[in-house]
Amino acid sequence: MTQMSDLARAPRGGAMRNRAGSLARAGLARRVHRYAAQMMLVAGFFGIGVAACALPPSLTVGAEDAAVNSAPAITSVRVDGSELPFNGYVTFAVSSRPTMNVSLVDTDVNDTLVVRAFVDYDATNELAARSECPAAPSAVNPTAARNTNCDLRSICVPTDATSVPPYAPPGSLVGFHDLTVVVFDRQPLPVGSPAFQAMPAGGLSTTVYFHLFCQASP
Amino acid sequence: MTRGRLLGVLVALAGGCIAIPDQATPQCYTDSDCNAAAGEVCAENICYGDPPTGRFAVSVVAPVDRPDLTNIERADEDLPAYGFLADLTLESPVAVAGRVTAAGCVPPTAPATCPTGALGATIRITRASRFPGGDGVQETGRSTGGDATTSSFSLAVPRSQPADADFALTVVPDDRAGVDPVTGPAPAELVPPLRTTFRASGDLDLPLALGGDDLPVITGDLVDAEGSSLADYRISAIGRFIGDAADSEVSSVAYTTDGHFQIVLSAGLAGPVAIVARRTGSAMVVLPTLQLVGVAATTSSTVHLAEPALLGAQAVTTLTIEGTTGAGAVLPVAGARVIATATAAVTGTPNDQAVMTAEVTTGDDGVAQLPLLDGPAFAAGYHLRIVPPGGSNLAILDESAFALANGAIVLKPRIALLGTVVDAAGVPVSSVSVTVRPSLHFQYELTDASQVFLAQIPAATFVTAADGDFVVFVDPTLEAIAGHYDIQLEPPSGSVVPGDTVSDFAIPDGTLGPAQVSLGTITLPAAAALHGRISDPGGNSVEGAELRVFRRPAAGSTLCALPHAPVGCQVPAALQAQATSDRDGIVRFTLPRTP
Repeated sequence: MTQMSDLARAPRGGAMRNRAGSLARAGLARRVHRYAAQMMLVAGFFGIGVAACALPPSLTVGAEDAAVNSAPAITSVRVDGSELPFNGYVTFAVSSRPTMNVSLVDTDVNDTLVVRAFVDYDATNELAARSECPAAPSAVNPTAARNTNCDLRSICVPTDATSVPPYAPPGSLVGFHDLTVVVFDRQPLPVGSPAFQAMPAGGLSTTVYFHLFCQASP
Repeated sequence: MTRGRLLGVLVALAGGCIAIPDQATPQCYTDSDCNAAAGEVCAENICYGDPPTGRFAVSVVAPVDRPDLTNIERADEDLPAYGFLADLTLESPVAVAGRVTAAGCVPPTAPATCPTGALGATIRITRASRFPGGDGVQETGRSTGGDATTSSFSLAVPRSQPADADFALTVVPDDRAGVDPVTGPAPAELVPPLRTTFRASGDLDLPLALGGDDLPVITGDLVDAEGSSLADYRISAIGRFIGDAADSEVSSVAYTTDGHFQIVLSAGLAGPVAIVARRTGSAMVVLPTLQLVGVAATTSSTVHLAEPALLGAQAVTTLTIEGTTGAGAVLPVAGARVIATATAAVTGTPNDQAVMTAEVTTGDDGVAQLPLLDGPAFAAGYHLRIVPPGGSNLAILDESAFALANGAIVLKPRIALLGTVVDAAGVPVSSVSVTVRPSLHFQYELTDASQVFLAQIPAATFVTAADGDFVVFVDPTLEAIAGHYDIQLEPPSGSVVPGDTVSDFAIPDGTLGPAQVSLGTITLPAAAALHGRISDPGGNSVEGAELRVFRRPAAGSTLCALPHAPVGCQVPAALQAQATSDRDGIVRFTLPRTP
């Protein structure tokens, strides 16, 4: 078992966990990040996806050592035409219908990736995902870079606009929540711990965070 | 060249992108290898051009690491026959900065104690898109509270053009859920939100003074059915700044400890407001939210909110939410949201209501414990709604007259939508992401409350197998109206086939789970290859920018004539392609050649 392959679960803990924390245990993932710009170039040339065409061949090979799994990475998150800075603020109106476009990289080019978006998920509040979207590999031309669109219509429900996270300390700002976007390289298990983020053995995940403000008006 | 051959060559060429020599069969060497009569040209060994007919719009999204650039939108984009969009030039933004302060605090705050420094607040700047369904402008920032004499916020927005709508800027003061004995009242307790509009032909410095002595003040008290004061409530006004907007808080916030309150309304409200008092005390004490509707928004007034009589005692209703697996076993459902709501009117004052709501999420045991009131005031019953977690094959529950009783609720199965995705040559396409969303037609058939509920149901997704087959589970009805769904098909990154959407697929009347409904074979259309270059105002290539291409709807849609279409309804354009620019600023994308 490699150092990374025992991470058959998503990182858990406080919503303000530093994004680098999950990557710190994935050396290969860090290298992937270093080459993220180049890897984006390999993404789908056509259709909904990332365009371009200039990748060192070695980075496209994911099956040389079948025992090694590398963590997937989230390279960008866009919502309805705006790129969101990691750990930055994002505002949604209750009952709006935003779509989140997530760019991903996984050097295991045949892994089917699954993106889930959680609101106020932590170790003591393992709430179900508000959104899920898959990013499957192309059978014809599998690439490390992927792209998927997630429906975020249920990210801000009416009670979110007037509440704080269940773990928030007194005096927290009303309407502010924690949005956690997790990419899994295995389909999360229907039952397991942590709930809704547990994966089969060997599965890896990476998490990015945003400050979510649910506003009752658009 | 036939479209089938085109497809094959594109497949091979895409393989060439990742340097697999044996798949790198060029599609063309010269224009004569392409459909030159239709305008196609050979570039990068690809036949580009001959775009589909129709009306298109584009937006270009600046990368987050280029704050010197801002997005652009074009409502009518001519797609040239040769397939190259040469002038996708991002613009330099203008800076909108300002300082959020208090012009005057809610009475009886003494002027001397009203903050003079900047206030903490959320700043949101929006502008309608240049075409229905487009992105428009949506920027969010924070005003940092404190004594700084300089700007408390700064945001970058596109420069206003003559035909553009005005920007709308909304300031929502920070609300810290109660008086902090150390820091004093939160900004939201001192001043109401502010909405203003502006145009930005250059950098702007906006002084934003919230509150003021000339704004309407609502003074009121909260009492129970016996006339005794109620403590531990959060009070605010709900209303609209403009007629076709959604409801939002439009006043300062009061936290009362003795039943009395004063709030200040925002300026420029449209129509009356509702005063809403929400319980904030111990979670162990369950009490309804009180609301008084129809309060004038332009004049000061005194209001009286009373609890209805006969609310009853707190009773925890324990429900076990279960569902049937494919094998027939009944198992608890974890992660289901269970929401119970009931409304009671105060006798003799029809505008005065009490709303009891409890919302919990089931754990691994499927158990939901709902703290509710069991009195005759809610004798009409609770409205119980259950939303299973995303990806579930279990249906929502929408029961309008739920009598309080412990027990198990077995969710019915959803119906299965089946289909097979093939390409234009009839070959099954694997790894296509299938996402099913309620169509606008379905939404506009439903009441506003049900539209809100529908929006809380996560979209169903599936990835096609090697044989192109998929199955997704959807709810057959809501409000006894048959479901209508848009089925979006997104081929994986690297694929050469375009995405497509099966629009407004109607579930046959009377269909109930676990029935299966087949969509049959869905043929993805042939693709038109296009490309373009994204640059900055200096002509330099921009890497990491996103091009979004929309197809605008044809005239004659009756969608906006549906009973619950929004005010000002316009049929939105459909997003048909997204692509991110490479280091040379080049974007490559396909559009479906739909008839």
